[in-house]
Amino acid sequence: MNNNAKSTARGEINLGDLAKALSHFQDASEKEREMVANCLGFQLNAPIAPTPSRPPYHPIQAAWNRPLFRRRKSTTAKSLNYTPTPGMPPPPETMPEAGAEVLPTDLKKEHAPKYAGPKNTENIIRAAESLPSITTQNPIPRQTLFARRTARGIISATTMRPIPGRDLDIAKLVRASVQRQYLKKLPVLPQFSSRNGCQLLLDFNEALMPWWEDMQSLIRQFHSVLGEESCPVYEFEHSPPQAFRWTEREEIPWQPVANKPVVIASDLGVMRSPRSAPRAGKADWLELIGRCKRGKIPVIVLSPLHPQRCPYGLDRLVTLIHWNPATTAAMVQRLSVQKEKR
Amino acid sequence: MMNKLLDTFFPEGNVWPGKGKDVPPYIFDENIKIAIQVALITRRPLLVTGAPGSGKSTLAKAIAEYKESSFLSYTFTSRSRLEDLTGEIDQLQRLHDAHKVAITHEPLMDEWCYYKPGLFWWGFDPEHALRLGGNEDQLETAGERFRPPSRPKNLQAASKGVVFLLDEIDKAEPDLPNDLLEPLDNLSFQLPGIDPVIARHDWYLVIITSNGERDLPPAFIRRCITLELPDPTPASLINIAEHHLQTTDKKEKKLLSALADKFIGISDEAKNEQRRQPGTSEYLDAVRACRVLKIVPNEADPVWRQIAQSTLRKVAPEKNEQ
Repeated sequence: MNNNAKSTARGEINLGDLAKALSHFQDASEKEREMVANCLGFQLNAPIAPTPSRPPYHPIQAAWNRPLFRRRKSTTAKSLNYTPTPGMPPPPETMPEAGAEVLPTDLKKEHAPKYAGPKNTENIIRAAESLPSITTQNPIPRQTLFARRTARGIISATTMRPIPGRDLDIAKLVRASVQRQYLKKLPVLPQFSSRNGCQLLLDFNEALMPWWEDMQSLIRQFHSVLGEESCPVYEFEHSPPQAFRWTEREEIPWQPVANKPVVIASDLGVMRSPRSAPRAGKADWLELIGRCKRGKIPVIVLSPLHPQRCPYGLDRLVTLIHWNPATTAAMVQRLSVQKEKR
Repeated sequence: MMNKLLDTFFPEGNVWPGKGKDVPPYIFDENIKIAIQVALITRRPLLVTGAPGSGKSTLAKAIAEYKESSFLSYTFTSRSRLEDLTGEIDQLQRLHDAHKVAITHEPLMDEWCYYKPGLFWWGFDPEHALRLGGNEDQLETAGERFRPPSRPKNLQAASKGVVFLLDEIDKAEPDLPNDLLEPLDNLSFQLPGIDPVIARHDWYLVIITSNGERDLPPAFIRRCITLELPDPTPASLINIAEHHLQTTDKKEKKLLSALADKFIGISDEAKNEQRRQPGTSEYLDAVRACRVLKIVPNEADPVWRQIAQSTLRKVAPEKNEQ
């Protein structure tokens, strides 16, 4: 820790750190060396799960994100039957045939022999038994709808709200001073913070059954960023304003809380349930949005469906985020800023 | 030099009995010793996690007290910012002085005179912090109007090292840990208008604690040495309590043992019901209560039931009765 030497920025913990630490533990036992490695995050005995690679960016994602949307030129060849323009050469009179030639061969055509059944079934059974059991292998990790690498940024961007900061708004202060206005309080610049957390409302309707497990992952992702206390989770099946959550003792109905954004994971009632169970109608959604608007609480909807499938009129009232691995924090921030401006 | 430092870094018998009332006795087990040694060797912050009451914050206090080093602590809140730890300009004081200037017609002091040094500034370079980064000429120009900041109480003038305690980092904004990477990595930081603040002491130990209420950014964790304080066992609880009470009495040892068994039972019960488990500090509370009231753990005794309820279980009575 001698600081006479020039200190330079260092990156993450690396093998150099491990080597440096182990050089000070020359006489250490194997267990102690393992403890040193563990402290540095080198858990040599832990199984290494394959990390899912980042999904490729889909151009479809840009379609709903209007500032990014650029119409792509078609790459398909034009038909030869089009009307030629004066500047273009005429099409050829005879088209070359594109058929494939059959190569000469001496091989004779024969039918395959009929299958007479297994000759020695014991060998087959023995071979099957020697195969490794599926249950003993590591399960393939399920990929979350918000990619693990970007989820933290997306959730922060989703729940961040402007709050009064601590830096003085010098421009306002100077203006007030020049105009000889009395200030009741010091003008401060706003800062964006997610300290208020959010209320997470999950749509557990049958129609969204394919996403139920993703919703469980979403709870974990939100809790890991915001903490359990600042992110209560409510669920609903039919009507979103009647969402509720369970505590140790009772069922608590959902109510909007001032300064706490409401994040809803739902398809906004677009998909039909397999047994035609009732789904939330537009009136239900408008009721929930109306209650939030009265308290100036933003409503953010995470939809697994393409945002173009959002019911008409609702997209203007809520911030609609595509719950998709290709979504990034920058997209969410851009959407939130657009919403604020409106 | 490092080897010499490491050899003398822990008290004899790996137990620090504690000097005053502020720091209770602390036992440095093998895990803790190795983690601290690795943090010192690699010059990385030590991220300590564990259940509430397991002695995360006390670890930093005990080391600082034993090494007679400066001890600077900061508890994060949801409003914490990097400037709280480095330094920021006191705009309110500057505005106040600007109003006075209109009457006295003296020039307003430079902006650097209004800096409020943060924890890192005091810890890295106390002399620099006292001068607010100004050189001799600048201090002379500022004259008598220059107000030197008051030194933190726990900043020792003659100490060779500094122990920082950054408590409950999981309470801070999700992005704040990333802001800390630069000053902790470089042991220096830059503020506008003054020379960079560079660490001057022989050694630094930065202990960051987390209750695990929310996950920390992966980039931050990858730069920290990690230490997880394990759940207490009956043997470790009895050992800790013996050092706290400094007792050799057989009767009291029996009490400690009986209480440790009860503690483990209640802890398992809470774990099964997915409730918060009691910590070591709560076990010590129960021990102290039983000693003063002179009772032994016995479910038939209403006083014991009350002690267990208020010190170890801490669940609402209605829930308990159900």
